[in-house]
Amino acid sequence: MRAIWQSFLDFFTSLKLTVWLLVLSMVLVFLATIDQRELGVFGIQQKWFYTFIVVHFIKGFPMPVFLGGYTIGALLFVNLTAAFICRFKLTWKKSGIWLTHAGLILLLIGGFLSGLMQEDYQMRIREGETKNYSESFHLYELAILDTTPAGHDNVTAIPDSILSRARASAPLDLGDVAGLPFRVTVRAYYQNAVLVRPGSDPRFASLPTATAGIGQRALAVPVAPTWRQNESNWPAVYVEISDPKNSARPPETWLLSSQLGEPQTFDYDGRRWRMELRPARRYTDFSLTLLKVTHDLYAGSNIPKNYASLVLLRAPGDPDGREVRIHMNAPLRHGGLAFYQYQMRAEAGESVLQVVSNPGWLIPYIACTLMTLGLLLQFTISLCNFARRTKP
Amino acid sequence: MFRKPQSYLFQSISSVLCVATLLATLSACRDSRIASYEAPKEPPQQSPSESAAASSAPAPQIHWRAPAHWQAAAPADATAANVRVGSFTIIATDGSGRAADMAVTTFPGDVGGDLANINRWRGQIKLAPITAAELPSAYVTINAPAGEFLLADMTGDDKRTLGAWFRQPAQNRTWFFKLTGDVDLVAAERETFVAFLKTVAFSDS
Repeated sequence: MRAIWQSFLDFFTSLKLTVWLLVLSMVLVFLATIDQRELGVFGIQQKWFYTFIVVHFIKGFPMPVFLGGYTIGALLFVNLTAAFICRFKLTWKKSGIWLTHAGLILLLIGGFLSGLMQEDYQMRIREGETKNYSESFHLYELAILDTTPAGHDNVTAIPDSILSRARASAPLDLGDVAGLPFRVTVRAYYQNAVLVRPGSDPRFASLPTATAGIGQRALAVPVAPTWRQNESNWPAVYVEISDPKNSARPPETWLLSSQLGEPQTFDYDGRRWRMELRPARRYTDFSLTLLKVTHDLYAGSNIPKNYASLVLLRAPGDPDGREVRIHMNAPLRHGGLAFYQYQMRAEAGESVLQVVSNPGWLIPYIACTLMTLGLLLQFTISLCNFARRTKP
Repeated sequence: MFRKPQSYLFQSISSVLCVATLLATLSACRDSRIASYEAPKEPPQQSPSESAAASSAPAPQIHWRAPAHWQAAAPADATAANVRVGSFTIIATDGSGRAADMAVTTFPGDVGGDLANINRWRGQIKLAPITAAELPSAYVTINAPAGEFLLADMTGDDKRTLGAWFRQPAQNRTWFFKLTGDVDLVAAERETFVAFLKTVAFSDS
């Protein structure tokens, strides 16, 4: 047993492993950069870095082609930590190297935590508008709203990670969902779809169809998802609403898609319901009101100088709120979120803020400070030793 | 002392598996649950007009005479089957393989307006958006038998787009004609494109 443990230790503390992992990291970055042409930044992050194994489709078949960023990063982390503990002795002479490696290990931890926990949203807001939620760039949710109450809506949000478990051959019965008096069955979910006219092409005859709502006039056809920079996925979902206890009410299948312009509403049990497939929302206990957008240009040109949004931040216990100016490189940090100035349509009085939730955002700063201090210390110690040796 | 190669391989594989299992467990902690909450009522949203399928008014029939060297493309996929009323591929005759794509589409409404449409086309060839003040100089008017077409000519680093649109206010509909592809090829096809627009005619469906 001791021999096995020793051999594991030898493997993980070896410098050879470090070199191999660094080479693999460089190859990973190179291949991902080449692939970026097809997939865009988000696509390659998901395919090459935020994964254990890189899977590439060759003639439609998924083939593992390389180690993913998580695997290489984790091995590098284990390798560095093991070497750090087993090989490095904490002496004054080596304190700089010790500090630099501690910073590097922290940087790897920070990168891993960001990959695992960072969430990006956007808040599209017009002048005078108040919002207490932001919307995901890539994730969607099926929202079923009871709009009967006068002052608010009762919302049930089903994330696309659950919706995507449905298959045309095996619909997903969500069972009794709290707050909903009817049964919800997801008949099909398409991450990307186009709407065609029903009956326009015999190839689509086997696809699900809607039996209620405006979706009866369209047919959602799945197409390959896209991750390119200037393209968007348009998801669609077929949802069946039924009541097993009420035989007088036959099940109804609804098509929901952001491409359908009108809201999908129906009455059930004396209450008014609305359904929509929308970008996943993240609500906060504070709100932002956009007071003014500013788009400055350099004098005599159309070159942007500055984009800025003046917002009123109202938090619980502070109904009057405080004004905050969000502009380039000066985000608003509040409630564990960072609001960056992202896009702007000044002529329409509209601003788009990127909302980032990253509990480990400080780690890279601390790690870089540690590494800088470590390198400075090591250089200073070496310089002092050199000066002492050359002293006549 | 050298270790047996198979022993080293075993260690590598088992070590990678140990680390991967640990990370897989951690990454499985992402939240994916059904949530229920109260939310303040939102003002009614303006419904987007960019939905051909949702349109209640049928589109009029369109007719044209396309030049012989434009190869009419059959809808190869569902996307094409949906929005493209007409689709052509133009290949350079010099054997260089340079190509351009011509698409005819139609949507109810104005699809966000001229500025949004031009900026969408500009974005597709990686050009910066223009402002409302720059809009009047961003297109020219083509008088054709069917009526007035508006034509925007945009040149990016490696692609050029000729985007024309034709409004039918009575039907609350806009027709789009977009030729995009190799810069030189699109430049050479500009006059043919304008001539094509002048052959466009409409009839009731």
